[in-house]
Amino acid sequence: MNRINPLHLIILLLVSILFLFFQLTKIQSDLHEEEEAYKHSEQIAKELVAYKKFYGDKQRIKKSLKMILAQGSLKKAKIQTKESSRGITIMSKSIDLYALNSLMSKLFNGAYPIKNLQIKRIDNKNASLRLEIQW
Amino acid sequence: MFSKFKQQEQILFLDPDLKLSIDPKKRYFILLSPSLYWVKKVTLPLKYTHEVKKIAPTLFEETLPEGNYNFYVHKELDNSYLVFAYEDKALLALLTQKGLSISQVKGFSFAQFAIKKDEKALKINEQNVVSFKDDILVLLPLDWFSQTKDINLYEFAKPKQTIKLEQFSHIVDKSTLYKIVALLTLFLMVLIAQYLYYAKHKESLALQKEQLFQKYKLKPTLMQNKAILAQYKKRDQQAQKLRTYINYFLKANFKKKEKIVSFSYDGSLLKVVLEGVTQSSLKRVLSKFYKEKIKFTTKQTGNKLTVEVKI
Repeated sequence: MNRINPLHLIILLLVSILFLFFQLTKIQSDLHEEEEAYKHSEQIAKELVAYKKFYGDKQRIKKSLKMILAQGSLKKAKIQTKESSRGITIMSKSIDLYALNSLMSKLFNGAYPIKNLQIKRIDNKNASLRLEIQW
Repeated sequence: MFSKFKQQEQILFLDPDLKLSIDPKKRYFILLSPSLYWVKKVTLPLKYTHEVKKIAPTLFEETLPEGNYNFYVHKELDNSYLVFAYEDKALLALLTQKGLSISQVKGFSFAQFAIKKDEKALKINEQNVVSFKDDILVLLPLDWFSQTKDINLYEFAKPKQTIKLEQFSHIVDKSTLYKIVALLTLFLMVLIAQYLYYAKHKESLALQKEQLFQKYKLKPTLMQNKAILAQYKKRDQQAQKLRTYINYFLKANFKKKEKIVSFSYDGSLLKVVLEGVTQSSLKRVLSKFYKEKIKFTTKQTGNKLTVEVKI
């Protein structure tokens, strides 16, 4: 039986090593790209979740607005709310400037997505308000 | 019809003292002269040629000069063998010396197998003949023979027993080559293992990515998610700007009879109507806007000044 020439075997092994080396380099680079893509996707996902929590969570907005509007200082303002599929509108024909200041501070600090805002001074103590929050 | 293109090899008798005329276009089958190898007829209680080949170096232990030899074993009868020893390096050197390239050589064999045993002594040059002695072809002086015959290579048939020369055996011996093979195989295995590891890792990463999309309830494509994120970011920026600018207006340095009449915002433009403020006092009232270099436009209508800021 003829034995395989070790030189031929060495050449075959070297070619295989070279081929595998190229494949390895390619898969390493692919893997690096995949890892970067995964990290990027994860970052986007986390940011999206955080933003959704602030601006996209309809229930949270409704619940916290209800709590704000239930405050005693705002009772006099007779604030009306109107809910639609796109958002919620807060209206008051006459609101005390101090109450308005308190309401606006809470809205601005609570990160509500304000779509429309109309404040008109009626006199030195009162103003009218129309505010539209969009989800 | 293809046989027309097939190159027929010519039989060549290779001896150091024999002049050869080589055609570089032709291919040759080489018959080695007895001066190029050592041969021994042995009777051993062994069944197979490979068993004899294993012990061949010991058979020639005291005969062969220093060198790197290869062995060929031919079985004659039961337990009777012809053992040949030859040096690849010496044969290759002779080929080069005779102007023959290894690529022109189709095969090698020993003259022993090409010449008939009942043949007369064959004259190979002016000094030597080849002749059988005790069933072994040997090189002998021409003077010893009264009757000789000129060697005619066209009479010879190509023997079945052939050998292959190992071109690098004199540089690296076979055991070293096998060690290299083992090392390269090991290296190849390591590379394969590494490749499989990366492939598996890549696969698990793809799965993790899929799970990530499910966990965070993302849209199917990254492009869609990026677009949604950009919308949220824009909304957030606008909310922050709106809060900051309204704050600037509320904390503005108003004098007596200067006041804010209204705020209106439609999602992109903030309009603030000021009363009692003129273009000349604007720099004082909106000092923060000037300091922060925030662009705005103004429109004076009687006692009222409308300031418009893009958000």
